[in-house]
Amino acid sequence: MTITTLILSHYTLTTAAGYGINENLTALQTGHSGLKHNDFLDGDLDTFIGRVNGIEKEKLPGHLTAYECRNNLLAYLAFQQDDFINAINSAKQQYGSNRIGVFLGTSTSGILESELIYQSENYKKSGFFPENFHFKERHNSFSISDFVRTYMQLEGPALVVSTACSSSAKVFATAYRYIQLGLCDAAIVGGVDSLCHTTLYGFNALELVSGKPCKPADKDRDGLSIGEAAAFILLEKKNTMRNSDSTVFLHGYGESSDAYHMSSPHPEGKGASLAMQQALNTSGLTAHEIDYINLHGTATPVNDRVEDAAINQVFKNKVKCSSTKGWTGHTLGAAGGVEAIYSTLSLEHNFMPQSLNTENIDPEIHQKVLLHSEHTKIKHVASNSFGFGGNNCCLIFSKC
Amino acid sequence: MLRIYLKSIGIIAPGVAGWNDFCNIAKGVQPLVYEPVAKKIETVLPANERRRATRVTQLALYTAQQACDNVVAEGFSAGECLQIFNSSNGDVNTFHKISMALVMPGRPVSPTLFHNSVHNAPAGYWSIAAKAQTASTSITAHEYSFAAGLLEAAVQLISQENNYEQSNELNKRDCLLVCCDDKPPEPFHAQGLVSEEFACAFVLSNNIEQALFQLDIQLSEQIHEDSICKNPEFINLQNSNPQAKALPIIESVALNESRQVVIPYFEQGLNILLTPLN
Repeated sequence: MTITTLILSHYTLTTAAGYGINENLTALQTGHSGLKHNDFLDGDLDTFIGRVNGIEKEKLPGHLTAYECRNNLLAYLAFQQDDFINAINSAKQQYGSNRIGVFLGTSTSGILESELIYQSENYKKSGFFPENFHFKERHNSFSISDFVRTYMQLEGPALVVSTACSSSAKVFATAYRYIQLGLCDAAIVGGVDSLCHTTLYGFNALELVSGKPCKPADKDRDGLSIGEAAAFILLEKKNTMRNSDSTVFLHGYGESSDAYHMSSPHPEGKGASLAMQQALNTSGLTAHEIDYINLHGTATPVNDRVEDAAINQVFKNKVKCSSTKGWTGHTLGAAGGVEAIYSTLSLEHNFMPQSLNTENIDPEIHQKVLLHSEHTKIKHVASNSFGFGGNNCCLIFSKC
Repeated sequence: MLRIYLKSIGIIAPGVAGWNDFCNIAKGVQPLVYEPVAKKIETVLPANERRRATRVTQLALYTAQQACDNVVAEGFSAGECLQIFNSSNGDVNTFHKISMALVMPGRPVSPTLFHNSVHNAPAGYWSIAAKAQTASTSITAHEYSFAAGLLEAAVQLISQENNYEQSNELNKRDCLLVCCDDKPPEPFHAQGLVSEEFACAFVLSNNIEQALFQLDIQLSEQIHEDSICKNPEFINLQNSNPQAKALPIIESVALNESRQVVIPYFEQGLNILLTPLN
C-alpha cells in the first residue's frame, strides 16, 4: 500500500483569542491573550478562563433547534468563519456526501445544558427533565459529530473520540486510517469543548486550577486556566487537493497509554515519550529534524515537568518549544485540534510563538521554552496532547 | 472489504453470566432466565482502582478480562493489544452524581467522581490493570456505537500492516474491543437510552493463527434490515442496549455457524460475513 499524504486543506477555529484564523494569528503574533477573570455564569470560582465571547447570542437555524447547546453553538460559530462551509460544500461536490468522514473530539459535549436543568427550580421540585431535553442531540458525546453531519448534510463514516484532553489530536490518526483504507476520501476532523461546571469545579477539586492566568513552564506556575474552543480541519489527499493554498500535511502520529494512574501522568513521562517516538517513526523523521514543539503545556506543576522529561527522552537535542495555553486556556477535548491549527500557522508563517505569560522558566525544565516569539524558517512541527486516563497523542505536521 | 479474525469473546448481560453461559443458552442446553446482572462484579483491578471504579468500568473490565482469558493462542498478551473502548452514552450515572454535587453550596465535586466522568475512564482503568501502554481509544457513535466500534477495530488492525504504521514500535496484531453501556439513572429513563446492562468484549486480530472466526466487513450503501438473533430468547435483550446489536455475531460464534449479519451504521449498513475456522 502506498503512503497517503493528507493535506490540511482548509481549517478554521474559534477560541478565546478570537474568531477565525486571522484573529487567532494576530493574537499569536501580538501576544494578546484571550484569558480573563472568570465571568462564566455566576463566576464564583476565582480563576481565569478562556471564554469565547458571544456564544450566548448565537442561535441555530430552526431545523437544528434540537442540537442547541453551548457546545454546538460554538461549533456553529466556528463554521461561519474562514469560508469553511464553502470548502465543505465544494468537497461534497467533488467526493459525494457519503465519502466525507466526520471524526471529532470532545470531552464534555453539551452537558452544560443538563447541569443547568439540575440547578433549575423545576427539576428540584419534580425530579423530572423538561420535555424538550434532547439527550442525543445535546448531552451525548456523539452530539458534535451528529450536529456537523446534520448541518453539513454528510453521510460518510463518523464517530466521536472522547479520550479527555487528547481527543481532538487522536482524530487525525483516525481520519488517516479511514482515508488510507478507502472508507472515505476526505474527513472533517478537530474538536469542540465548551465551558461547564463539571470541568471548572472538577479540576478545582483536583487542585489543578490557577487563580491567575496560566504560566506554562514558569517556575511559579500553579495550575491551568480552563478554556473553550472549536477547531475544524478538512483533511484531503494531496493529489486531489482543490483550490487550497495550504501546504501543510499530517506527517506522523503516535498514540500510547501511560497505564499508570487515572488523573496523574507517569512520573517519568513514559507513555508520553512512547507517543512522541511513534510519531517520529511514522513520519520517518529524526528528532533533530523537528524545529518546534507545540507543548501540551497545561501549566500544572506536575504536567509540565513530566512533559519535559518525556521530551528529553526522545529529543536528546534541545528543541524550541512553547505552550499556547496562555492564549486560549486549556480547551480540553478541543486542545488537540486548536494546537494542530496553531502548528499549521507556525509552519505557514515561519513563526514560533512565545510561551505567553511565562516569565521565569522553571530550572527543572530542560527544553528551550521560548520567552519571545521567533520568526525563522521551519519545516517540521510536533504537537503534544495528553489526557486523563493516561491517554497520549503526538502529531507531526510538515510543509510540503 | 476488511478481513479480520476473532479470537475470543467475553459477555455479561441479564441472565448471561459469561461466555460459557451464553453458548449453552444459544445451543438450547439451558434457557435464558432473566436475572439482573449481579451487583458485585469482580475485576482484575488493583485495590486502589477497584475501590474507585464505577459500574460501567466494572462491566467493561469484567468482559475485557473474560475475552482475554478465553484466548487460546499461545503467547497472547492482553497488555500488547490495541485498546478500543466503545460506549454509546458514557457514564451518565457519574454525570448525575456530579450534577447533584453542583447544586450544593460550594459545588463540592469529588476528585474521584471527576476523573471517573471522562468517557475514557474504563479504558484508563483497563490500561492500568493490563499494564497496556499501547494506543487506546474511547469512542461513541450513539445508537450506531457497536457498528462504529467494530469498524474502528478492523480499521486499526489492518492499518497495522500498511507502510505507514509498520514503523510503529508497538505494531500490534491483536486488538481488544470492549463495548459497554450501563443503565442511566432515573431522570434519564424517559430518554429511552438503555433499559438493560450489557457489555461484550472481543479479541480481534489481523492474524489467522488460532482464531475462531473470520470476519469480512464492509460498508454497504443499501439500507438493510437489522439482523436479528435466531434464538427468540435473545431478541428482547438485543433491543435493550445499543451494544447488544452485537448479539447476532456472538450467537453465530457460539453456534459455530457461518452467517451474514447486517448492523445499521448511519445511512449505511455494516455487513459482516462470519465464517467459522474449524
